[in-house]
Amino acid sequence: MLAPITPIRFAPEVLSVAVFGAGTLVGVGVAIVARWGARQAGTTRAVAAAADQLVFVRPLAGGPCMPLCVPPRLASLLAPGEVTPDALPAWRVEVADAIEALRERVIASPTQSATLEWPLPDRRLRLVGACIGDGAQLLVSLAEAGPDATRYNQLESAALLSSGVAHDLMHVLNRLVMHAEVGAERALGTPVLRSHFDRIHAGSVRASELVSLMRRYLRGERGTAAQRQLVPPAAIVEEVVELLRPTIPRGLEFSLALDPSCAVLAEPVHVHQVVLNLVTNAVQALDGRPAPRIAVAVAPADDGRVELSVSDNGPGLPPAVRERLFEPYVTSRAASGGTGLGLAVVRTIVTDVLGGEVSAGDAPAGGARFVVRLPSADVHAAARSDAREPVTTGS
Amino acid sequence: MVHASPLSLSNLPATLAMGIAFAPPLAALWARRSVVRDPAGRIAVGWLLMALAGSVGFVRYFVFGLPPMTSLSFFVTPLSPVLLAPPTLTWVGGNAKRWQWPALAAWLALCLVAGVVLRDTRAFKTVLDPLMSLSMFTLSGVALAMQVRRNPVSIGRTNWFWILTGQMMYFVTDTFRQPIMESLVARHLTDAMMPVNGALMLLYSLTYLVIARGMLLRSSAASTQHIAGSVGQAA
Repeated sequence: MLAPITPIRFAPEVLSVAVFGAGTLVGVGVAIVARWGARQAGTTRAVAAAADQLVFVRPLAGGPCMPLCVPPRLASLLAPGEVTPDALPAWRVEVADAIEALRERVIASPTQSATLEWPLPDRRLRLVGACIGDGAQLLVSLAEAGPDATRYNQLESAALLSSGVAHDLMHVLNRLVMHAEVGAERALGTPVLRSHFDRIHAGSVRASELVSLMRRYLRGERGTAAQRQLVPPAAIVEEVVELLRPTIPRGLEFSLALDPSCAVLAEPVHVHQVVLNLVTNAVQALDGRPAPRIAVAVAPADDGRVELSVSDNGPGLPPAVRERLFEPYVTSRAASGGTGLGLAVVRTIVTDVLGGEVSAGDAPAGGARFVVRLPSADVHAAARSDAREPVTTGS
Repeated sequence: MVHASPLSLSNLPATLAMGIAFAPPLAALWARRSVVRDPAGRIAVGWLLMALAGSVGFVRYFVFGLPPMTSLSFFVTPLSPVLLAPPTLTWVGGNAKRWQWPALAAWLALCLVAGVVLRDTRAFKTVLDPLMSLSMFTLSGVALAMQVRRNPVSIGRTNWFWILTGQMMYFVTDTFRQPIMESLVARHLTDAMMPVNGALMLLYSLTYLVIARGMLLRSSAASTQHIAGSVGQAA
């Protein structure tokens, strides 16, 4: 028979401590999980708000598309079941193209995270891609944390603020235009004075157009084909150089090689904005450099498009920003007041509005070189002609 | 001389738990898990040794009519974290493994001091079992949370989910077992001991089955770690 056991007197106290300790642990755990859940709920709201925009993942090796780095309970919201690429609705094609571009960037630099934005009708959604494991899968998600989220919020705030500023600025510019016209009339007898008033007038009109454009963007309007016209980029370049000349540092040399026969089908303000930003960028890059020089060229490209290039003999593109040069708020001149918006604007106009492409590289003589390729007006005309041709030949 | 039948109704839960305690290592053997590179395989070794230690007390009690608690218990409680914590830390990831040897050394030192001070096996287990179990419960919970964060999709198909969930269930049960039983003795509620022990044994059986389920899943820990490492690198 087993011997009687002697009680351990402190056993109940140990039990109390154990209950208290386990309770505390469970409480802390529940609090952490609740906080995490609240964050996930935030993500859910963000994705639900963008319900017709897609957060999507396609394995690099092909196969069915599936959401990967999205919380499981969002999976049904984003892509019910497994969706094959063929079953994608038409509006997802744009996203598929964006993901394809991101995929290529990830393959080019597999150890780095690649970021891509693509324009959507009413907002920008940031895609974050990464290459993981041997399967080289692609992760795409709403960037809801970290510096990307900060920048996303920055963009949202900037858009809201810009709307109000644009409204007030329009009033100021209208008065400026009116007074410039009155001043020019009264300076009829003084040609030098009149030329100053004319420049004020031209600049104010262009500024008004820019503000109108900005307001259209903020309203989500992209412009129509009817608003486009034949625009010779050479004339715009001359206009921009003339506009900037009073503010250009002394000693800066401009070299212009402009083919006046090149023309693109666009709204003049768009081309003006592209040229203005590129040239201003070059001028700022040359600040304090010896023998500063900017070369602007407009010429027909080999592929039938119009090529506009802006080169400088400045310090060139810093490696730190080269990869993300066209992203908003990326700048190498943050210390001297650079906003990092100019090249982002150029990229948006060139690719999204004008249907062209823009690239950055090194100039042959050192410095940076930006090349913009736009469809020429001839190409547009040919495309329209091709579109009509089957009807005429068929009848 | 046989004093109690392991198959009697009151002892059946304990017998059941003793048998099912071998399920996790057997499942790992069935799944041919590596006991060197696979954290699940290393955890299975830990559970095998704990099951063997438990079976010694089982045989002593039911076959020889001796108290199940022996001086072996002085070693089981300190060694459980030594066997289970390192592979569990692998699933925590990051810099966690840096702390494993200092933490285990501190734990063993604490056990040594407690052994010298308390001397009695039951008192030793009553004090240290809850402490050890709470620590392992926390560690398993943290590992589970870290793994879920890295692998948000289909966690039910991963071995670590079942193993870590099973470990959390086991250690939260183990936190209370010894203090509850000793409290019942201290308050002379000996009639309640058998049903309470039976209930605890059934809970243990359930946790062993959950762990064994994880051991059977073929998703290798090596690939899990690889992806986790890659994600960390990408991030």
